[in-house]
Amino acid sequence: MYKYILIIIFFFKIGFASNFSLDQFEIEINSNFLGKEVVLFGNKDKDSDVIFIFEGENKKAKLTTKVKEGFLWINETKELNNQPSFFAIFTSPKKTLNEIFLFSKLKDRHLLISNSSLELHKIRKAMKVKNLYIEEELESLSGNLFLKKFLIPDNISPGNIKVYMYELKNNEIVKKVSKNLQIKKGGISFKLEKLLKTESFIYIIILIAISLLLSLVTNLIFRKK
Amino acid sequence: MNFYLPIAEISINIYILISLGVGIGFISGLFGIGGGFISSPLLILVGIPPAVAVGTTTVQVFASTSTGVVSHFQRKNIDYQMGLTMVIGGLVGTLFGVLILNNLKTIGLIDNYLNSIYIILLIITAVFILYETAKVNIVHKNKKFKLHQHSWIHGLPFKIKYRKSKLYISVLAPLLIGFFIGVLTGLTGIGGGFILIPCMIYFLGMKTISVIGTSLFNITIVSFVSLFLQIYINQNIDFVLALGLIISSSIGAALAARIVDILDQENLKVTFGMLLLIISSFLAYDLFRTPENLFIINYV
Repeated sequence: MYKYILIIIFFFKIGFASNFSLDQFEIEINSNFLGKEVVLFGNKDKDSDVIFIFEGENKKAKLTTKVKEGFLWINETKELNNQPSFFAIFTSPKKTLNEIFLFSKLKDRHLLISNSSLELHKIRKAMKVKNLYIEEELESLSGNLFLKKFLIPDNISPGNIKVYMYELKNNEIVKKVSKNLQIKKGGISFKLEKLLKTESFIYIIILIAISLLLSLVTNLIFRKK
Repeated sequence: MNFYLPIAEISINIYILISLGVGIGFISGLFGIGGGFISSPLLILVGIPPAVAVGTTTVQVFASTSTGVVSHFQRKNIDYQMGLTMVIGGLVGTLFGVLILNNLKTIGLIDNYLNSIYIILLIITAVFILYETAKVNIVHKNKKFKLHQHSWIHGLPFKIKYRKSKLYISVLAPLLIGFFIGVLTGLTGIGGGFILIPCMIYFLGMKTISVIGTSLFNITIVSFVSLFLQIYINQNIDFVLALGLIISSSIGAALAARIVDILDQENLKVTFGMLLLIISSFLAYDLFRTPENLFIINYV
């Protein structure tokens, strides 16, 4: 709770120019990473609308569509280049995706909401299943303050998430602010992945040695007397 | 309580992992199998990506068979000549299997094909076990019958003597069997003992006393090589998941060892056959039922 009080005090102090911040700009994926709640907060002009877009780094992906053939469900797979690894849209007041499509300057900048095609619909749906796509309304606090808590899921890919704030007046973008949210692997997770990718031989030798050792030790401990 | 699997890139509940490992180990210990063909599909069922499930199962298979091979080595129950012939076929086969797996992963059809392969393998094995049990207990209850009969395999060329097993058969037979099991190891992560042992007894005509040691010897070497191929070609072995599975399955196997003697062996075989049919029906149901999600995205 104290965090939100500080947020409100902070924005009353800096004045009323539209701006935003996050409670953290760096998230570390380690062995006990189960996803991370991020708090987005800020203030806006009373006559303006705001749209926030969180866009993860573009990566190669495969989109699988389940298709029924006879009695069986089989996969049809399409390779995709440059798909954002995470995407979230937060609006105030609430806007549907169809309304967002009307802002051509905005949709042209973000591939995933660039049109209402069936393929993009499939991608958004597939990402939503993995909690990698969010479409929600910002929570309004007193005055012109807003707040949004959301979860960065545990299956997030490491990399940079660009955070864009678009301020709209009379359906025109009047201000754009962007910041970065960094997702990086740390601790043993990072070391293991690095070892696997750069020193595969050592990775497998350590794994074999530990496997044999564990297998022998557990056999000794639990063997029938 | 969840924890993060760094290579699978998902988190898993620790209790699910432990239960899974203990369950797999318990079944392995009870029925004298490696358990790889149960752990791969079960890992996929709990949400581990298929390629990671296959790679990680190979580690578990290697760990569980390598300790067994040591005890058979001490008891001199291994036919090295036969084992090495199968290993040669197995090494070529496992390379094929890993490359096929890599190709299926690339074209995105891995879960369809793996599921179908597991279903076929599990059903064939279940039917075989139930048939053999029924044959021994119902049809031939009071009759003596030959363990194996001469078939087309014994007519193949390039015959050599296998002194330990007292066999004079074509080198092609163990090579082909080894190759087939190797493909399965590379493609699905299983050790293949549940197919290899009946093949060695019924097709090659080996004596039961050296069959288990020789099959463990073959599986250990083939899975050892498969580990390297999986790491270099597919990079799909999760360290944390592998260690969790090894520890918990060893506990399960030890628990099974304590009760296996008080259970009726024939009933155990029937239970095992039924268990295989249940697992395969779960997998088959997955192919026929309307999927919860029609669209799936995977980042490369």
